[in-house]
Amino acid sequence: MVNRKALQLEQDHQDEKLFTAVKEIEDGLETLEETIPVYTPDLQFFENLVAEQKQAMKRKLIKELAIFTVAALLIVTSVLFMLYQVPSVFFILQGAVTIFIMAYSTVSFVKQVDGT
Amino acid sequence: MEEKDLIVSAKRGDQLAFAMLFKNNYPFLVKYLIKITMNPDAAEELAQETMAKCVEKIGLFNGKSKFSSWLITIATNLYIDQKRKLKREKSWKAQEEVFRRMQWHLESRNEEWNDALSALGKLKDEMRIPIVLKHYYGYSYEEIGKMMNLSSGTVKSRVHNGIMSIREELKLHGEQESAAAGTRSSR
Repeated sequence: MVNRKALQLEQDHQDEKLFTAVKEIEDGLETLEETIPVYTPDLQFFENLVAEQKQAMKRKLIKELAIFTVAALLIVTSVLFMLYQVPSVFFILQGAVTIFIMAYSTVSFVKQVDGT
Repeated sequence: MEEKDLIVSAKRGDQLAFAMLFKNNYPFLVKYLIKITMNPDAAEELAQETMAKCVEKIGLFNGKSKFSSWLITIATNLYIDQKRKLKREKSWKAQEEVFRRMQWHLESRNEEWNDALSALGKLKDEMRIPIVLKHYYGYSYEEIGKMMNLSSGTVKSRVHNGIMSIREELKLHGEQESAAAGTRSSR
């Protein structure tokens, strides 16, 4: 019983110390909030910021689409070239890719089973 | 126009609605960033980056939380990412310089520099940010967890450990001051 009381007193003492620290933090942050001046630019500034960001997003989208199109065209062209000009290489490549995918899936599956 | 209407218009691509939303929330955002970066210049820079990101992601805003809460979520993650990528962990000397500037700023306005602020500034971001969000802005552990992609238990322990560190720092500072006062009086 005495032990429990002592523990409770200790706990209350700890809580009080934490409360004091929290109060000091709050006071400090409140001082920052009130003292550091923040200049808010006019509406025009924010409109320009939005317009610039939208332009940047548009440019990024065009760039990504262009890269995607060029890469897709390159892949399709090389596959078609191989199929019509060197069919043996095309079929060897098909086989190699299939074997690679199967081996990779098997290894991943075995690792997953071992892990669990 | 109310905030909800502005958000709807902004989602439709209305630049003026976006600008009004940003203008209304700019002081709140910058003041939050000052508290977590302890650097007014970095805070303004980050606020602009946050707004740019917001234009990009406005389609993802579901309106469940307040727009200001969504803004500080983006700002917090942007700040953490930047620190991680650029390894902007400032040396103690640089950090001290920032504090000195803030201290000078406050004292020039006849405000007292609070030792708890120095202690807060010395904490790691992962502790400082949840403390500011919890004890200044009053967010719950769950809300902070969602903002920082952490479990509420982790947030709770970081807040607790952070406050304990600050308390230790304040105690240490208090002891040093009383020791110095003792030395002066014995002379």
